[in-house]
Amino acid sequence: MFGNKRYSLGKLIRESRDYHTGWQQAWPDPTPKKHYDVVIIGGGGHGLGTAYYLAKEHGITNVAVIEKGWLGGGNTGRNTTIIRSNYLQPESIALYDHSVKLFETLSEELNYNIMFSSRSVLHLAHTMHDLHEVGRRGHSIWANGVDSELLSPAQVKAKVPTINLNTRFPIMGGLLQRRAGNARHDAVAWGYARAAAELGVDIIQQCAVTGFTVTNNKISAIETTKGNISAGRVGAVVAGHAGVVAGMAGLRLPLESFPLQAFVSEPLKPILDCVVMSGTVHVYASQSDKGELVIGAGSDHYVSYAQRGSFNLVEEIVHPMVELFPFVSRLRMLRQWAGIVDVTIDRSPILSKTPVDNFYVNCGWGTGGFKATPGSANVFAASLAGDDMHPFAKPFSLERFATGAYVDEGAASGVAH
Amino acid sequence: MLHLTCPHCGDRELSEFACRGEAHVVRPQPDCTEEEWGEYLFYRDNPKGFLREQWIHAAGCGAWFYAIRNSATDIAVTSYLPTEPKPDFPDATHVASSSHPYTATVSLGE
Repeated sequence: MFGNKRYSLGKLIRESRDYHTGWQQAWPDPTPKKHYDVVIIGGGGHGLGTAYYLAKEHGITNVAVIEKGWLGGGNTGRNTTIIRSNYLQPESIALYDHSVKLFETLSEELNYNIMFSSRSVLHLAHTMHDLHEVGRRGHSIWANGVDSELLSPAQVKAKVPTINLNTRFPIMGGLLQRRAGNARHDAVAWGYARAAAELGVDIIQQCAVTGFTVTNNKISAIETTKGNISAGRVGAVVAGHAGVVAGMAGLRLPLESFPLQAFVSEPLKPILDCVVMSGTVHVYASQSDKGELVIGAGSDHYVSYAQRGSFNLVEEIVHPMVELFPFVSRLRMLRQWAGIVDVTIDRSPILSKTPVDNFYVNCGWGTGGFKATPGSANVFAASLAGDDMHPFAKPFSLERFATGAYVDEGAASGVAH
Repeated sequence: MLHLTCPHCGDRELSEFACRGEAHVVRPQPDCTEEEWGEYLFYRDNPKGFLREQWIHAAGCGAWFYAIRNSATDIAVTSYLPTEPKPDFPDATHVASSSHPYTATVSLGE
């Protein structure tokens, strides 16, 4: 794959010698064809990854990814880049750990440095209830074969020396997953896009879907701003706008869309070498490779598609951050933004067929979709290629909202994942 | 959206209010199917545009009321009590021509 476009140390040295004149465009900018076997709506990490795995693992290369804006400009480029698989339910652990395992080798697989760093994720416990919760969850994670350690307050302090243990809700322990960590979010989208394009996938940016023509309960044409496209199967991977796109096919989804805010501080010397999360005081933070603190918290309290978030939540996010890391009080924030997250009632995603025959949805990742990018894409591609949904996807079907077989991560995730 | 109007107390800071989700969701009859019950509990219109919501003036008079808001711009349009008739959604031109400071940034980040 990639031929002489392959990135390597040798290539870098040659390009340095040649004044960087030989780099080629990472992916082309094609005009849409009339028909594709599969059309993926949404050019974020999940969508581009789905196209990549369709081409790579299932030999379906007549695939298009349609993106309204630019690649990774939605939640893929707006999250706090946390990757972990320490969930409570076996169904979630299977799916998220599949994703973490794919992340571990993704740079090599895509020939693109996604800067995956398994720097560990630490969940703090501030109350007896928290201790019980992380204990229960820790055991559930062990039982499902994923690494997980319970830490005492002294071990928390040793792991994160800058932390203040004597907060309003004192830190009583923690749950650590060492294989967890983070990655460069844009690189995940770009790496998948470049690899998918190399395998023949058409990546069509600045192309909004405006409607569907549904005949005989099948989508016969996707109406876009670049003309009508027909497709064998259609996969909608559009996060916050899942309800809007499904609405064009006459469907309603069990979702609500909320803004989720994040902040980036001015750069600091290295002071935090793992991801720290707290569900009780409700904040999570890590330090980027540039030295900035990347801070996130809970989603806004009302439905919105405005990607800025509500102002009073800023204070709710800063409070616990200053409490846990008092030095933050003198830190300036450089950027603040929000992404629109599609939240289900059980805080688990929807990977499902729909009442429209050839229309599949991959949505409902809520506040924690980035960590699932490769796993979700891999499983969704297998589902789009085959007759049946992938076994990992089956528990996450739309039917669970009628049968009551929820995958309840609402309490277990505690903090916005 | 920094403020919201309570039908009793008038214009107040948003932090005094709590949002309680989509309004006018009708509970089905007890003999409904599981699909209808699931639909009632979990399925929402979740529109990008005007919507009707339930709010509670939690740090004020405590009243539950309904509000019409544009979810694409976060501009709240009007509030009304459950005893009052449902007002219609305003037409888009009305909002576009309003002098609300957020109007200019409506398309930000889209």
